[in-house]
Amino acid sequence: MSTLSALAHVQAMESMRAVPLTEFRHRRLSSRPLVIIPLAMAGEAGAPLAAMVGTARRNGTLLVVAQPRNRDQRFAFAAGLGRIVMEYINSFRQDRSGEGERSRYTDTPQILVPNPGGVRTLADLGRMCRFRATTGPYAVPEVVPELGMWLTFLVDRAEQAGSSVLLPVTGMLAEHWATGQSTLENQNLASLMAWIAPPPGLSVEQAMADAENPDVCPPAGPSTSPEFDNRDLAPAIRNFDEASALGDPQALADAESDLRELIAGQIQPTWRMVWQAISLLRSVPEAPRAAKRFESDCRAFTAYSDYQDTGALPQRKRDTAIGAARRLGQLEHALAEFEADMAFDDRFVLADRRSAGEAFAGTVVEAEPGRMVTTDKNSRVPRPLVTVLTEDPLRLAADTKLISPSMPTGHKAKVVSVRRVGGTTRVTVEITGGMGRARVPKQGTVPELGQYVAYLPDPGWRPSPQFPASDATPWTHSAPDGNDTESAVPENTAAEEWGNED
Amino acid sequence: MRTDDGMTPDPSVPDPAAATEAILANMADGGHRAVVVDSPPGAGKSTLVVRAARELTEGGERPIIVAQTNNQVDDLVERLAREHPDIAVGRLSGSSYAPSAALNALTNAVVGRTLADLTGCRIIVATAAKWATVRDATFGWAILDEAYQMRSDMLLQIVERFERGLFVGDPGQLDPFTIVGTERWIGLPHDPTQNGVSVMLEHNHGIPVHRLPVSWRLPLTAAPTISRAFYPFTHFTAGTGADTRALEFRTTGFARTDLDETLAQAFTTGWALHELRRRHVPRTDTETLQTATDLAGRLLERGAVATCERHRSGRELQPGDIAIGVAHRDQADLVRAALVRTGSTGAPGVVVDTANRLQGREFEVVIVVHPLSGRRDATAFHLEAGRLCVLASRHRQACIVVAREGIADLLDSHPSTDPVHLSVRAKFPDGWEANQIMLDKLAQHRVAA
Repeated sequence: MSTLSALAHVQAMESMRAVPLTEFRHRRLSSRPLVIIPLAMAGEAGAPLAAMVGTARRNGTLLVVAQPRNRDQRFAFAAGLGRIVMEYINSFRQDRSGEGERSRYTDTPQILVPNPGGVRTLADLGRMCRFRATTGPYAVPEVVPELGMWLTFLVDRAEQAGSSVLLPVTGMLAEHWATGQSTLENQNLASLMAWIAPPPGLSVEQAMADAENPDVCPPAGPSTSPEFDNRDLAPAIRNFDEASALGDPQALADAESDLRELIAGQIQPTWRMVWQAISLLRSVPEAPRAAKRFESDCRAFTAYSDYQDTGALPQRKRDTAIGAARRLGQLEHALAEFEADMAFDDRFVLADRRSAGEAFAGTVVEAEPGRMVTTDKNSRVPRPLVTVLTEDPLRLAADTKLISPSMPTGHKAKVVSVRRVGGTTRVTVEITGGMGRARVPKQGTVPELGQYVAYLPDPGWRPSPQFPASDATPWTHSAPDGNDTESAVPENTAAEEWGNED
Repeated sequence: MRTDDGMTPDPSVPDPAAATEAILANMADGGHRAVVVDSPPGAGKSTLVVRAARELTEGGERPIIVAQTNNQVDDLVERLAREHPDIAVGRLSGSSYAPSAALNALTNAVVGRTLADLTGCRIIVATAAKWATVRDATFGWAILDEAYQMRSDMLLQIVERFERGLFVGDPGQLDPFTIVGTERWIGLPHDPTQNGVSVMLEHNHGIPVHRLPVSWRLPLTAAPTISRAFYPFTHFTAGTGADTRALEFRTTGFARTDLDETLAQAFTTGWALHELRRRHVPRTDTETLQTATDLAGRLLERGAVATCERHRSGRELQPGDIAIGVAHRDQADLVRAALVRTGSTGAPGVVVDTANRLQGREFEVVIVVHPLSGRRDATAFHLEAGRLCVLASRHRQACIVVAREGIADLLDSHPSTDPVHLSVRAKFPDGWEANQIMLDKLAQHRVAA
């Protein structure tokens, strides 16, 4: 945590209300997001209990698994959820723009879940569904493996910084508002909302006390409150089991509707709160560069959608050595880009980076605008030098490449020297790009004496790493017998019996 | 149960020359795709690299050397070219690289941007990142220096450049890391965030793993403790005897008795713990950082003469012989600023850096700001054994630790709570235990401020 964000948290604590951390919302918010609130049953990893899903506050659909231990019911639930999710996703697979290679869908689906636990639950659900067979014994409807593959795609994509196809609402809120509570507490939607927008007539303290009371604010999932489990859920499921053992259709229907009502009571407060959070987030302006990241989401969505159209195979359970290394490179690159984008767009984030010594701003006190140098290729190019006087605790080494949010697009510079004089620092930078092609820099592309400029490190373009061909994993990363991961971690460790109890 | 610092070297320890011969013999017999050499701090890793490279060229090979940073490459090229004037050494580098004056002065060192520029060279040295850009060339042998600092995904990019590899490195230092927080690959044998050596060993059985048994850097006072704390299964000893190294003041102490007492303790025993009052403080605590600065300033002010096997008649300590090691970059900034404020001309020449950046470097006296000093909690970052190991094993003469009282209590109230994952081996040394062993040792050299 940097000094500035720590300060914001202290300020929030002192004034007992949330303090904005950023000027913008750095995540794109779709005009038609699909909200999913998944609930899971305690005691068995990845056993879905219920989900509320829908694209508007007023038309949420509640899906319930009356007996979560029953595999048939579990996949009937998956099929029900799959039909809604696939209808939503398919509605984005209509409009394409561009020709040939550049052809892509113009919009992407966006799934919102209440908290990071929701993302993990969708990952589990995707893992559970994507390998299911649609023929033979224990066949499931076709939509089940399709849902599994799509959920896995969205979860994988969500790991990439800056992507907006699947987001936890608490993450978006905590990125914009600082509260007086810890990062862990900020994952509780109810108490986070208590800080940002307490219900009318309640103080933040009162709202927080309510948020901690599971009878007033049921947990936002994926796990339900243990008290609710013991007091209400377990007897209701037992009733359902008894009714289904008796084979009485009326009793079964009654037991099922009781159970639905019970779970609706647990899930609806969260449903309303998620939509309230979404409208709060809509009131924050979207950062300019979110559009650029949306483009990249569109590309990824189109690529996966086209792969689905040509008969997709489910994603593998574990990454191969080369796949994992490639993915790590992409994730690191995306994170660096996203952090730079945020600081570039947002003065608050820039200030945060400045307080950590990773960026600086100040006035130009010396300038050598006419400086020319001879390049390797023997041409004369303008390379103006400017010296910026700053009070920031700067920590950038010479030769660091820089970009500037306060100069025209394309402006590039490089740190030449950093001299500390008393409490201030004089940074000499060489302007290396964004001056036009002429021998004399274009008007306004070189900072002038007295001008206020800000600089931050350029995450830069870097060549994508070259790995060996994916069918030729080298000796350091594969066992000589050829089946490396299998030998260390058997592929069937996660195998399960269908195992319906009677 | 522990026998403390025996003052005579253990006679059962194999002789270092024999260890080197065994490594070279393993490389020569052609039976293994890889040979691993684990080297404790200052055990002559570079000497081994230079020697192995020479043996390979004599055997008709054209080895490549992979280092992790440009500085490491420069050092290796310089050493190779100087010690083997008959061998042409090539340095493969990026377009913006400007060779140092020392490198330019060597007639048998060539700098090139592509392999085509270096066709006449018998040994080619470059960073791993540079080797990753080379295509379509395969060499018989590669020597990978500081291999434990190279991530597995980097190894994957360069592995096609060589048929056999000598992996040399220090397993006790800081592991490579990633800023991406993902649990996706935990437990996979080819986890790309792991170091390359572990991943290679995981997939190849029967790879010979050698150990260099003698640290030439660490004095006799330090080697047993460092060995026990950070290399629990692979003991090593100091290469120098009890009387070889010594530190003496040039002046007598006056006025700053608190600092002088700590310095005297360090000069006579090789260790000192300068313990400040118990307090919870932020990591940028002025008192702690100022004390570390003052100790360095005082050392320079009083002047010290170091005697060792290189300078038998003594040599005056220069600012560059002293380092201050910290855990965080903002601490380093504050200490540097404090050194400038002392007004002494020499003080800014003292090296101040974080553990990550001090890796692989060597000093006469090192002043360490303990990573856990003044903290309320012991996070995995601050407990990491590699971090303390780097800080406590850079010195040839003495190590002074500055800390707030209460680290032992902090350790006792924060037992390791890291989650346990399937297929992930327990990591040794354990940070918690290593810290306890170091504290036990330091308690014997405690000076309360």
